[in-house]
Amino acid sequence: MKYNRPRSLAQYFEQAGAVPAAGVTVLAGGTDLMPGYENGRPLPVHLLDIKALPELRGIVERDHEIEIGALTTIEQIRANSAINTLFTALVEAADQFAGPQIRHRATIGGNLVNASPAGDTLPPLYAYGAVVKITGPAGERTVPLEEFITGPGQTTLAPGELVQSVILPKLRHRSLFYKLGLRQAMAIAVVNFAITYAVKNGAFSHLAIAAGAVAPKVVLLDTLTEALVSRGATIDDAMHLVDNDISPIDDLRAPADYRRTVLKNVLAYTLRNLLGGGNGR
Amino acid sequence: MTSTTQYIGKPFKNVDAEDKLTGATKYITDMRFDNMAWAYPIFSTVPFGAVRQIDLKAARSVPGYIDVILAERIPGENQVGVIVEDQPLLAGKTVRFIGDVIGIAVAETAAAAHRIAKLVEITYTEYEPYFSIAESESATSQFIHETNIACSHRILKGDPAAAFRKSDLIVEAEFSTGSQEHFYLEPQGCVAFPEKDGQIVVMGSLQCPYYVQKAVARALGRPLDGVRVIQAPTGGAFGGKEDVPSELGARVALAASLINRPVKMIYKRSDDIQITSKRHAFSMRYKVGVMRDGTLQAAEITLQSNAGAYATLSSVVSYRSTMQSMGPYVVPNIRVNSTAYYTNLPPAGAFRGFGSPQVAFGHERMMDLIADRLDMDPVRLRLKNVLKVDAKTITGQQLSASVGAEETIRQACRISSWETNQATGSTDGRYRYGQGIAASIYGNCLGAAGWHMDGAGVNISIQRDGTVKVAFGLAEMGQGALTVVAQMTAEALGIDHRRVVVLLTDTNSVPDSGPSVASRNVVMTGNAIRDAASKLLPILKAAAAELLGCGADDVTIGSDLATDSKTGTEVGFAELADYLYRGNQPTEMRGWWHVPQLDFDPDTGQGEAYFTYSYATHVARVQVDTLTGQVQVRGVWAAHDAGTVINPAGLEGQVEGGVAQATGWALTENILVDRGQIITSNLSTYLLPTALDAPPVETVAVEDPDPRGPWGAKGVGEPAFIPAAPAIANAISNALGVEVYELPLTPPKVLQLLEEQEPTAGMP
Repeated sequence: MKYNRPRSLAQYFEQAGAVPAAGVTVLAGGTDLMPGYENGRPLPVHLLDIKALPELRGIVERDHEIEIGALTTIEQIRANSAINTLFTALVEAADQFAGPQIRHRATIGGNLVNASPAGDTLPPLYAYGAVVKITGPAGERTVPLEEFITGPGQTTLAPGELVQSVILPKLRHRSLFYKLGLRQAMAIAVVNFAITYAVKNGAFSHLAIAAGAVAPKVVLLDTLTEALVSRGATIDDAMHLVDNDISPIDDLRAPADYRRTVLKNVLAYTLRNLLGGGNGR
Repeated sequence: MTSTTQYIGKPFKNVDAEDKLTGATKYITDMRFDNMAWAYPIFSTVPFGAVRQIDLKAARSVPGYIDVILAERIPGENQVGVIVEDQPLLAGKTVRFIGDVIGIAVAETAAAAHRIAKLVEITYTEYEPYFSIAESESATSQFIHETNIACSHRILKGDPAAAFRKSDLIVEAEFSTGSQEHFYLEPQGCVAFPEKDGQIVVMGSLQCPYYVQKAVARALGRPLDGVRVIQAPTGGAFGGKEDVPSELGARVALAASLINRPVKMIYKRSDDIQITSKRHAFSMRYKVGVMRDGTLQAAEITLQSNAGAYATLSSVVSYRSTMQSMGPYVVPNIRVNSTAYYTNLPPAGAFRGFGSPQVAFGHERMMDLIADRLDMDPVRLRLKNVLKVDAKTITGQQLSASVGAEETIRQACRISSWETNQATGSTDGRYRYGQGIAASIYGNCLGAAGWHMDGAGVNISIQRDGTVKVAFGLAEMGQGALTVVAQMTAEALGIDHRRVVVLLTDTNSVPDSGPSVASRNVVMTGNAIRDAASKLLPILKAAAAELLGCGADDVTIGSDLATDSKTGTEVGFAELADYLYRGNQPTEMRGWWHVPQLDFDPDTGQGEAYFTYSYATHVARVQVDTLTGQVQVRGVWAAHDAGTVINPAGLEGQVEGGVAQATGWALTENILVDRGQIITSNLSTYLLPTALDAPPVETVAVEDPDPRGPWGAKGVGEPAFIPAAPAIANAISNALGVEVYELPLTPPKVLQLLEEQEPTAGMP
């Protein structure tokens, strides 16, 4: 196995270009990669450690957006004041992400590229309408997150390309995040979701819901939100529409039915509370 | 009893804690020896079958290959069964579970040994496997061993049929409890090295050095003095390192003796989970007859346990669960039948509680069910039937002393404010709250089934500078043995505890002291220390009398001094030690203690099952999320009668650890198996409680001294675990207003219980 730690993007492209693209494995926080090797995944041919790339670092706030470098750790997101002010759901997701040791190593770029249906930062990023900035030998491009992730572990990232940052448009809406893990920490989500919302006259004037771990990729529950926002449906009447947007599976963490039930239970409860309905049951 | 003691009953932090916390402790994985090779097990990938062919071609091509050792090269007996002779050291013909070890790969590096183990191609003729108790029980041919029954035990006392007829109420229920993985922090590991004199030395992460010594001697066909076993610092065991290290020890010793080099073997975590023993899953049927006033009249209990592929310790687990199947209660008429069934799963073996937690779930759910049917307070029902001095257990054993069961119930209620917290089914919309209580009994040491090896020794040696070395035959595995041994030695000799150095266990130092199990260290080693001290003290007194110019009878020893009680003149212990040496006096004494002979009839299950019992009661409070079925244990209040407490800090640590481990067993730890393959084989799928899941625990000691225990002490390591899960289950039942019959109560199962109760609960 060969290991390199490039010091700039230019150096990265040079080193990555020197080997067949299929042979390159990118290492950032390593919190997904390393357990894979422990579990018997063959070691990589060429490991490129991108932790020292300055171009992938930093959180930049602009008038209408905030740009988060791919190497930003989950802990840095938790601690950042601009993100805390504007993107509550993302901070809540970071709060419930694994445990302290992993939060200090794992990066937001890694969570995007890993493209797990249960990744905890993904539902907030979907709900915020995040855009992924990609850099490659041919230059930069941006892709909406929804298009960037194509399936479990699958993205549109071409060989040689890296995620440089993720860009969040500043919203006036409030947001929240919910996660059900089967224990209080160090648990992979059985269901998670993020909501951005605005309430006017006892009804939602804006509502976006992104749910994780209930389909091959994070899904926006558009059928439900459309019914609630545009057609004035009641929460009780509309909740069954969730089934149109999700397709959970049985796995060793939980049965599909359980995921479906819990998502609807907690979502209904949460939406009722947002509308001031008090105790959701 | 303890009012005049200097060290007994005082809190001590564990003497090895600092080294463990700072990483200074050297475990097996940290040890390197010159010219050391590595070994790894080659194990079956089918649950049940015959080995047809073993092809080594690919394995031999791995760089660093040294050897692949198969059954025919075992010079001694190919047998490692600890009680029943049913388990080959290396399976030659038949494999009985995925993980059954067929051979040993030996290589220059650990990675090469893993690779060789993977590349050995084995072809099998597969048989139809049995995974559940029901499948095993209904088999008519192609048994796993000569039969599918691993062992059975029974109790018959009084006339249960007549007593049921007289009972006002009969309550029947069926229960099941899941298996559990020990998940000791340090995986199994051993290293063996051949000495020039032909002796083979095995060091390992283990809790029963003498088991390993016997297993190695047997496999190599050597006398016991040809095998020395040294316990390495051990990162947790919980019963998982009771018999399993005998397999590892014998396999590395075999490899080391065949290639004449040091050989080390450490299991990878996922293989450790697949290969090594687990807690027995139980199915239980309880039928209990009771009078209107709550007096228990009769019980009929059937216990079935899943023993896995080999008997290992199933017979003693089954024995203990049978003897304790009705908990700390008087039941005048009772029949118990217990059977362990072989299946093609990894062997079930020893795990903290050893069959007790399973039956505690049974009898404590029954007590709540009965209380509910009688519309009686569950605490009152328990107090009405609880064992007291002079009462008889279900084995007809009249208890003569140290029966703190009733007091543990009262104290658990007191510290938890049970009465004022009648939170029955209280709710704030989303969450429901409940509390539960559970009481338990635990027979100390090995009991009648293991009396023949229930002795243990120490060797106390006073050195010339006044330091004191103690070798003991039981083992430190994180439970604080080194600390209490130092405390008890200092107390027994009247010296400063800082003089005492306790050595890790070595079969060369102390005679076979049996296994470090059954919460027996304090009782066994403590009494052995007192025995050794009783031989040293007269020598010390005689020497002090000479130094002080008084009669030996006038000398008192204590506070690190020998004092002439008439004049008050003193001599320090260091000076006394030096004086012993200058006078060529004996300075080293062995101590030994064995459990009093037990009178027990295995045919009726009547007699003295254990020489004494520890008791405990836990109260648990839970919050249940009705939207998700998640349970948060908000607190556990624990009252323990462990007799006189030697180290209160140690007792508190044991109880907190026991409660955390039992919380996992009750709620989240769920071993999932696919055709014999464990699929929850890492920390992300097998869900141990984290620090955020483990409940806060408040502990109170009910000190009812046992005259046969050292300073009145009894064991607490396993009792710490036993009542916690049933208390949590009773609290969940109380919160939801539904009965629960199985563990673990994972969120999907709790949500199901809610749906059963109110069919609309599943939908918002």
